[in-house]
Amino acid sequence: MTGAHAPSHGHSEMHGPRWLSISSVAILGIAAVLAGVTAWKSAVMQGHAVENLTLSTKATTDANALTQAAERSMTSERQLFIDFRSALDSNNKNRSVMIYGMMNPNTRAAIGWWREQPETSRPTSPFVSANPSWDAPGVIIDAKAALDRSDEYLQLAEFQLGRAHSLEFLAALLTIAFLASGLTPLFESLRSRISLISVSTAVVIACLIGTAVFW
Amino acid sequence: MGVVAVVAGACGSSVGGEQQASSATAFKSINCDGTVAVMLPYGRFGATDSVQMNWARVSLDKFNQDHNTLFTFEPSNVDFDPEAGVSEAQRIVTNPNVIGVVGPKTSVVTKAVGPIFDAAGLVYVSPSATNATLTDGKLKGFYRVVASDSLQGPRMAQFIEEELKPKTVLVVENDEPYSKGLADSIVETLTAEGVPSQRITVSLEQKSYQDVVAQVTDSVNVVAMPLLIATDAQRLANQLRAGGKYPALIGGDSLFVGAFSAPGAYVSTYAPDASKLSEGREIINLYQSIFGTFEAYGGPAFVAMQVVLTAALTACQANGDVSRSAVTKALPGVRFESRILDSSVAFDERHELKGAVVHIYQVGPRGFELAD
Repeated sequence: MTGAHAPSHGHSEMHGPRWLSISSVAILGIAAVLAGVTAWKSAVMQGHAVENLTLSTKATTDANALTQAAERSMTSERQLFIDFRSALDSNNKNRSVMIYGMMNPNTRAAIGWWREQPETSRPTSPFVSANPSWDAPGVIIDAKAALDRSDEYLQLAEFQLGRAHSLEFLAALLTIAFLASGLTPLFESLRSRISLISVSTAVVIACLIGTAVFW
Repeated sequence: MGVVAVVAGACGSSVGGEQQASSATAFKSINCDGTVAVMLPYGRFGATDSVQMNWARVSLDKFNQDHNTLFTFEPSNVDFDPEAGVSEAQRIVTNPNVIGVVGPKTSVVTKAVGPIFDAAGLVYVSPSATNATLTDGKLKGFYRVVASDSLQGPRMAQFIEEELKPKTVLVVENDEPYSKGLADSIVETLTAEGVPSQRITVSLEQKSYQDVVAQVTDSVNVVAMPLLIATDAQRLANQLRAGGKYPALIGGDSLFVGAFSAPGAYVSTYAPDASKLSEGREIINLYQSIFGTFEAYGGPAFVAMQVVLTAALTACQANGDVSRSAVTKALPGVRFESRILDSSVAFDERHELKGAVVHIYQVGPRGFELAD
């Protein structure tokens, strides 16, 4: 019986009060769950960051395409108008009709507005801001808006990556809690064991707060 | 006119509490339409030509893009001529789609067309009419997004007194409301401060200023030029220098354009040079990508258009009504931050811009530089 009690007594001395063991296990468990959750959230954030980086790249491509299309359109309409005027000035009706036919409807409308203006105050070109039928400003503004969208996606992706890295750091920090809790049973001194559990608890609480902040 | 469609945008997926890019989640809620008449010059009027019209156009297109609205505009080519203004105002008021006006450019035209717009129940927001008497309550629908000459004149006089060490100030003015009003205000403040001044009136687009040159004697070391047309002021500055006269020169807001470039001259202006503001740079880039060049003068036309459209959108969102009366009712409550003016936009009971500031710029080797 004595022999049977001795290990039990020794076990009690070695492991201290029962609450210490329960606390140690509980902290280990919470730390493990928290590490898992932060790692998962970090992975989700990184996934969204990649998604937004892709969207940003796509929006940049769209913006560039829109800008180039707008610039091409502006150059083309100006050139066609110059040719059209030349044909009209030289009374070359066939050529003027042909060039007019090559114009897109917006350019035709812009020229139509310009021709209706009184000669005394008619702008030198149909492609001026006062011409409601000249749509180039709207096209360029659309292109700029696409570029803005690209910036927004990029900023969001950077933000999400920053958060993901912070969560990864928290997951790494939790290994301290694992280590401290894991080392607890190896110490005989009650004070040392309580200190280690306190360290683990503090790390877990700090990581819990950090996870809530960076969620 | 009014609500065309109401489309509630779907909520963007939430990523752990943060929002997706705003464009993805923005509620493009209501499409509103209506026509804004723009009574500003756009052809063959000289130095400032179509700069204000350009700014108003950029503002309209950007507003439509940002708010998913369908507002359009109707140009009205009026510069300094009140008769042309009256004729255009009569045409504008007969168009039932017109819900508000951006303009006029000048005080003299504003005085002429104001009663016509008032009778038709239209608001008219000027980006550059600064005469102090325009907000005395007689013009019901008049608003402006720039400082009144009652601020500009004293500011110029104060700058002359504090910075230019005046012996006698020669004030050169045109016989028209803007110039006369500003000159009155400058002289009144100078007199109150005990600074001697003389006045001389010149014609618009006058070719020779020998009478002015002759009047600049040793005792006259400052010439204030509240002239309407920038090229007139430039011609005067050139002739003063050609005549061996080098007084300090200071002009009003109408000289805040590239056409006036007398080295060392000072110019007052109600709007800062947005190209030198980090916040305004984005809009300047947009302007430049459309029109190529940039002219600081005219930025307030962007703001004036924003004011009318914001009032129209407010009216539309409130009850789907984008009528003249709804816009008139909504306009006094308009409030927003302007990246062009570098300040917030709101109006007091006299329809003046709250907290309006007058800046003094100096013509330097690389354009206008903020002096005070």
